[in-house]
Amino acid sequence: MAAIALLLFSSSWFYDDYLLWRDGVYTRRWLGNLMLSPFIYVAAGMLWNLEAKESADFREGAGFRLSFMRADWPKRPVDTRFGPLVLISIPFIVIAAFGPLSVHLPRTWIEVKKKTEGWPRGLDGLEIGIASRAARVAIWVVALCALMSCGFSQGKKEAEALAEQYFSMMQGGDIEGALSLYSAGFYEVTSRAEWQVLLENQRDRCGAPKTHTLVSWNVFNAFGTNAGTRTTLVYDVQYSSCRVSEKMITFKPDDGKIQIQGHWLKKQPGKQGDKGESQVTLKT
Amino acid sequence: MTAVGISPFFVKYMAAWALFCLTAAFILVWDRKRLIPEWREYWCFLCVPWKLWLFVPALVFVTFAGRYTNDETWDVVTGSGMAILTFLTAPWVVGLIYQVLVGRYGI
Repeated sequence: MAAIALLLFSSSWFYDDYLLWRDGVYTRRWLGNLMLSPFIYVAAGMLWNLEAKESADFREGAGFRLSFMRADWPKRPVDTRFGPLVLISIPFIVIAAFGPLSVHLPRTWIEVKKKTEGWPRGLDGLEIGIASRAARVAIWVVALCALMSCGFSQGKKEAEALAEQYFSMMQGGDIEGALSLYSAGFYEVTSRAEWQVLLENQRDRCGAPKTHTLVSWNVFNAFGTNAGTRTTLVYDVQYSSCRVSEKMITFKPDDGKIQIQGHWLKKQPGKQGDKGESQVTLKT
Repeated sequence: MTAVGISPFFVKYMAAWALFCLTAAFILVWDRKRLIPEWREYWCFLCVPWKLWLFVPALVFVTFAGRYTNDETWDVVTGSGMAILTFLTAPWVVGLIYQVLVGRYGI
């Protein structure tokens, strides 16, 4: 009952009450709003309940679910990535955008109709063209989401390629080569010599990286000053004798090449050869 | 004129929904021992970065889109109020309804 009351109050009665206070009369739109808004409200509720699956990698397929299906809901999801949710969120976003605009057509369009077709004919006239207008809005929203999705996917791909290059160089013992993948900004915080010593110590202590698995990632597109794509990748890396969680931040300026801007290493309880020592964690 | 006056029907309608909301509020207060820890977790659940990032453009859109429509009731207060209330309550309401329906949450 409390849930239903919150639903109807948030989506409809709050609006009625405020308009009664503002205009001194009960709005004539109360019934339409009461019937339409709960759908938008539920779509929004579903959207904010989407979550990426804890261990699913995006490459392995649909990695999402609805949070309230978890037994421990409403605990914060373990996996807070948005990447795997981009496509599934589109229908909910479309419903939320389509709902209000399908009822309340843009003013300029109505004014043109009034002039060219002798309107007004009351509210009935407004229904003409709703479908075409709404379809255009929906197409824009879908196109925008698809564009965002492509941008995220491309950013992830480039960052992963750079990380692969890093792991391959480290595997072959080419530390000099690996050092060249870092940005000038990285070396402003940690000098090249310091980082070289750390990578060499890491190699002496743990050996070469054997396998690496992408655990989580996110992509952020920045606009304006420092425009570019910042991608965060977290890998579970199995070295010869240690297991390390490595978080890499890459940055690709709009007009430049992608480089590593941040790199954190944190030793994990290892599967083999765990010497129980704590790994230095460096950040840039 | 864009709205109707307060007829006896609307007086009864308002009384009915006000009573419904008051009863719901009473239930929430009554059940506060169970709900307060749950709402703390829910707050962390809402503050996941992507939800906040997605909410910002949605709030701006719903708040200001009204001025470009023929709807005289869609102003900054109704737009922003409904957007904020929806963001704060809709995920909990939808989740709660599901939990009740599958029998995980006692009424």
